This record gives sequence, C-alpha cells and structure tokens, in this order.
Amino acid sequence: MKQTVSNILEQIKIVIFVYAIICTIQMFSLHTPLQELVIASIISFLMVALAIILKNVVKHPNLPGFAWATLISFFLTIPVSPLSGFIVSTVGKFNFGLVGLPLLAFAGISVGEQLGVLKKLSWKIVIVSFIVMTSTYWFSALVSQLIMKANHMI
Amino acid sequence: MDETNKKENTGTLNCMIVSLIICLLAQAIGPLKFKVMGIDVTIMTMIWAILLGIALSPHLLGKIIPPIKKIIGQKEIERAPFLLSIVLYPLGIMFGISAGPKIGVVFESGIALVFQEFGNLGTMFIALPVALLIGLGRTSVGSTFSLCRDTALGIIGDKYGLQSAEGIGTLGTYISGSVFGTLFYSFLAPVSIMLGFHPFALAMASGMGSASMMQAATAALVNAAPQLEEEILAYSATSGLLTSVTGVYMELFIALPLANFLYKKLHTPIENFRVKVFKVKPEVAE
Repeated sequence: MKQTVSNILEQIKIVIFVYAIICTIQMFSLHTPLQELVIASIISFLMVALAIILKNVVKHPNLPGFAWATLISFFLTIPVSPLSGFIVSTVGKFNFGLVGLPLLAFAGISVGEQLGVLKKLSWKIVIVSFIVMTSTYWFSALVSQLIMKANHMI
Repeated sequence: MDETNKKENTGTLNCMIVSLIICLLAQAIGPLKFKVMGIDVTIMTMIWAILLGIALSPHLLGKIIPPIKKIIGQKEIERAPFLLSIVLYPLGIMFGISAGPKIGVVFESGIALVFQEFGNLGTMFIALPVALLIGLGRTSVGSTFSLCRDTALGIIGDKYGLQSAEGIGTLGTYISGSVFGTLFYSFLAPVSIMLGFHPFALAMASGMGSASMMQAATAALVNAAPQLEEEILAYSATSGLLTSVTGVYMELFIALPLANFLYKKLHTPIENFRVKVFKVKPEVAE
C-alpha cells in the first residue's frame, strides 16, 4: 500500500515536469499564449492524475496507463457530458503532434539500451520483425478499408 | 564520482532536460523536403526527434564525443523507458478528447473497428512462412504470432520461458520493434497512403499494441492528411483502446494457437523445400 502511494506520487511529480516540457515546446513552436497553456495543463493534469491512480490501484483489468488516460478523457468529453465543451476548448489548445514529440524523443533515447542486445540478434529475426510490422498494419487497414467501402463511409 | 551524496540521481533530470532540448532542436530544424528520383520525400519533424534521441546513445555519439556520456549515460537510457510511459498519459488525454466528442462517428464505424482487430492475425500468414523459409524453426512462432509487445512477452514467457526458441523469437521482434518501430511507422504511414490506403483505414490500423508506434503512425498520418486530423485521431484512439483491452486475449486464445497450427502444417513442407532448393541439410537430401 505504502509502495503504491509512493509510486503514484513519484509519477505525478514527473508528469508536472512533462507538462513544463510540453508547454515550453509549444510556446517555442507555435507562440501559444502561456496562460492558455497553463489552463490546458491543469485540466489535462487532473485527468492524468486520476489515470495514474487508477493504473496503480486497479489490477483487474490490468490496462496500460495510456488506456486509462484515453478512457477517462474519452468519457468526460462524449457529447452528453456536461464537461465536454469545457475540456475540449481548454485542453484542445495543446497541439497533438507537439504533445507526442517528447514521447518520440524518449523512445529514441531508450533505443540506446536496446542497441547492445540488437547486435546479438540474428539478422533473420530483424527481417522477420519488419515483415511483422508491415503486415500487421496493412492487414488491419485492409479490413477497415473493405468494410468502410462496403458501407460507403469512405 | 560523487555518487554517494547523489543517491537519488536516477537519471530522470538529465533525461528530461535532454528530451526538451531534442524537441526544441527538432522543431527548429523543422520538416525537410527534398526530391529523390522525382518523388517528393518529407522528413518530418518527429523523425528528427527520434533520430536525435538515438544518436545521443552512449553507444553512438557518446563513443565519439565522450562528454555526452556524462549527460546521457547508462542510468539515463535505463530511465528513458519509464519516462516514456509517463509521457504517454498526457498523450492519452489528447487521444481521448479527440474521440469522445466524435463518439457518434466511432460507433458508426464500429464494425470496421472491431474486425480490423482480427487483421493483426493476418501477419503470421506471411511472416511465419518467411521465417520458416530462412530457417528460424520454432523461433518463427514466437517472432511472428503478434507484434510482440509487452503482453506478448508475458504470454510467451509464461508458456515457454523467454530462454526457449519461442521466447527468443518474441524477444527478437520486441527488441527490433523498440529500436526501429517508431521510425519505421513514420515512413510506412505516408507510403501506405500513396499505395492507396485511405487515411481512416490506416488510422484504425494504428492501434497495434504499442503506444509509441501508434503515436508515430498517427502523427505521420496527420502530417500527410492534416485536413482529416480530427477523424484520424478519433479512429486511432478507439483502435488503440480496443487493442489494449482485447489484445492480450487475442494473442493468448487466437493468435498463438493459430501460429502453432500454421507451424505444424507448414514446417515439414517448407523444411523439405529448403532441403531441395537451398541444400541446407545435404545429408538428408541425399
């Protein structure tokens, strides 16, 4: 229990810094007024804090933290939700691509850890993994495309 | 080193500062457009962020310019995956607020969204025979039954152990995906549009079980079709959610048994073919 609480607090502390990074990037790139970004951060942060708590407390179903965050903001912004307009107009000030940018930077840095192991891998598995990545994506897209075409949605 | 009085240094601070600098640099460089054999190629801003992150690894630039190792060392790269998992929360919120208001659109395409989940099974029909053909044996099953993210590692580790042939296969695809995945999907998404896939279909396909690959694929799609941003995010968000809820069951109850079944059917004929064509086991071929 104590461990869970300290985990939650540590993650929440880091999230605050993450918002600082996101805001800095967006001010630098899009010159969004700081005030809008701070409000967006606070509203978004409240939902994230809830998601972090749920992720650490709820073990069945054991969803990834990302899924908890999506679920919470999804249900708070469906049209019948009284908070929908407020959340979308405030948090919506964030640029989607820029919120995802630190993620990709961290993904890049994490690669360093895997490079050593990658060298030991057989080149055959690397080739196979590329086929796996491509075919997973294309098969799913093909199914969606066929069904949406059949229903005249695209 | 004064590590004794800095017991709490887990690499978090350095890692965060560096990621901020990387992002600002990436934004400053911006998208790069050029022509290769008459085809327009765009290197997106996000690709700079990934590449700069990789380049700073102690195994790459750190080797050439030792001071970099002091800033991004072993501790920092070990910390990065954890920080990545935290950055996912604010991003999850962005996906949620794109999908929530569009719940009507999402429901209308419910059938497509649900059935594309089964599209992930298609991968083994291509990847498994290829893996067998290049002689991966049982490793083929582990490396091709899914995209091999965390849940797959759990399942295979539980069932065969990660030291087994199957485990090595799953670990292999996992590691290769971690290293190349985000870069790969940032290129594959726009290429797929050029091949004739509709951005909506690709958005639905983006939820594959890895949030960072999903982000790379989705951001690349938005970049290629900015006028469809709202719908792309809504479809992508729902697909990502569906996969995170159903993914583990799909892998455990459908994908893995199916891969084993395919292996049983294909192993002997492909092995015979290998013997005949590649002469891999001359003693048997005789």
